[in-house]
Amino acid sequence: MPNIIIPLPMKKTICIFLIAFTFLSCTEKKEKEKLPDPEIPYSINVPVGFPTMDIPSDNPVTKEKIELGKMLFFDPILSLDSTISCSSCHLQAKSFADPRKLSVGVNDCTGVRNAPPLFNLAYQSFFFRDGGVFSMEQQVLSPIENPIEMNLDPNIAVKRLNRNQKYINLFQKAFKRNPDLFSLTRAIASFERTLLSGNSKYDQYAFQNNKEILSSSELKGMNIFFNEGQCSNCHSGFNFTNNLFENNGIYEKYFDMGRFRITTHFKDVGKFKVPSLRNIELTAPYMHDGSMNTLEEVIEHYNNGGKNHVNQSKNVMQLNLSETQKSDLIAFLKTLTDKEFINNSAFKKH
Amino acid sequence: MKSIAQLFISLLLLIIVSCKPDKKEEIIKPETPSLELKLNFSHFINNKALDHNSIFTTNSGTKFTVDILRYYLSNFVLIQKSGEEVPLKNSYLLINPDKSQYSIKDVPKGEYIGIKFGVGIDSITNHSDPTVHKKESPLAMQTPNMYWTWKSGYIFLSFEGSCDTTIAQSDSPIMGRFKGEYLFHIGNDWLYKNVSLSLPKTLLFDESKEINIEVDLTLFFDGIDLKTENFTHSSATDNVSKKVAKNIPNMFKFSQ
Repeated sequence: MPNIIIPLPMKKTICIFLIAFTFLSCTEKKEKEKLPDPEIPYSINVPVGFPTMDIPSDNPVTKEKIELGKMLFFDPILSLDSTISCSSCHLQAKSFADPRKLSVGVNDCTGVRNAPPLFNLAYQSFFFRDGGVFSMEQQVLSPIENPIEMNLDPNIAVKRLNRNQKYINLFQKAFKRNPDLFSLTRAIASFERTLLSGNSKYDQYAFQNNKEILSSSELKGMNIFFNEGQCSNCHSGFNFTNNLFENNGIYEKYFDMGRFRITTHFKDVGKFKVPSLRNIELTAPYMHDGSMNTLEEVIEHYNNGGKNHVNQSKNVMQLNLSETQKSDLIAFLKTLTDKEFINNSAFKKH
Repeated sequence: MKSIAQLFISLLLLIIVSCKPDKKEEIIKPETPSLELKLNFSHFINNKALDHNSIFTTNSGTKFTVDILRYYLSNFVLIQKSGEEVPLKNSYLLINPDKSQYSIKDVPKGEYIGIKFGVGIDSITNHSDPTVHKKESPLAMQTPNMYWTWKSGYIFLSFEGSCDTTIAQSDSPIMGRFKGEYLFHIGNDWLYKNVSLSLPKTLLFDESKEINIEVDLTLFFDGIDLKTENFTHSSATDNVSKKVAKNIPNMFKFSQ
């Protein structure tokens, strides 16, 4: 190394300059490191026997999002006249279904379909009875905007949230951004993703090795469900649905054309999403239009084999079940009720 | 003396080591000026400029007023003199007659003789999530609404206003509006329409330039009796939306 001769005072200056430069040049980096990450990663525990849950890459679950989503779920701020919230038509005691035939929106409007229960939604590929929407995030927009539900322009909903300091803080905490439609839909979907129901008597029997828990009537009903009655042809798998659309033959002519409204294929007239049968005891009235009040009526319909609409599912056929068999089948359906789910304090309004 | 030199070297090393991850590499951008194609739209009904106060008449004689007109144009393609097609990436425009000029950025230089575009949104983007777009994007949720949230799809064209729906005697407008109303919400993949127009003369596109497009809404109502055919959400069984969608590509032409 060549010996560079520098006078001493200058050397001192250089050294001080260099030291100062070292600090200066690194300040930016240190500031970046100081920023706390507001997102606390959160993993949702799925019930025993359930497959792992797919979570969209643009909406990883965090505690903050779930809390915010829950607050929005219960807040009428998302309806035109601030009278209706998601929870107005999705009651936890009814596994988040509506005991009314048709739900009532702002200005006492009613639609044509019965509000579905909300649970195990992360396992659904389609939303709404006709499956018009295919992500939980996008699903959030429709009830807000629908003139017969909350009747609020989603852009106005966002403006309202941006006038509310409590929400601005919570959105900043959860998303590092002010309320917008991206964060609003992500928050509510995150909360809805936590609505998991998988601890019914049946689950304890099937997945938790509690073989004594079902009575002999319930066991007989289970046998009918999976074999003789062939109910499980459509209501299949851990969530008791094949996630497809079927015409179950309740009408000869359909006023609400169901899946046809989306696909426009005549083979889809009168087809609706096969619902999960979990918590079915709690979700009366039944069918897409809430036209049947009791499980007895529903069983009677399937036992008779339907009205033979041209698109009626091949799985709907006359069963000739005896009265005892029918009541055994209903006893089994009631083992799908998950009391822990409807009492879970994590889903209750603060 | 030696120790000062050591201190000097060690400090120098410290700077290099401590700051290495921060060292920003300069990105050298190639010198390509981003050219803009500006499109000026003017809307007419029977040679009369569209506004929200006038009363217009369809060719079949029905009087009407206009509240809302919005429509999407997308997937612009420029046609070179050689016939080669130049697709313009991310070209989505939401046309509102209250605003005349729109622009498409990053348009390559060339000599162009024609232009193609779709009225509506292509099937891939059509069913995508509108909430991922920035507020300013035409693909974000709009007010008035241009997205069907119940079926995840854009409304390609929204045309609303009042019209005279009386058959026997004619309705006289009150405060500039008729009692009857019309609403055309055109959408769904099967109603996406392609438009192909030849430019009036070769466009030497070597700098940002403007082109003028005239939209004749008289043709929108071609074969439509507005007295009775005045409402559609483009459902599958609906014929009004199909008739109207067939007319839509004919509405566009270049003007000098």
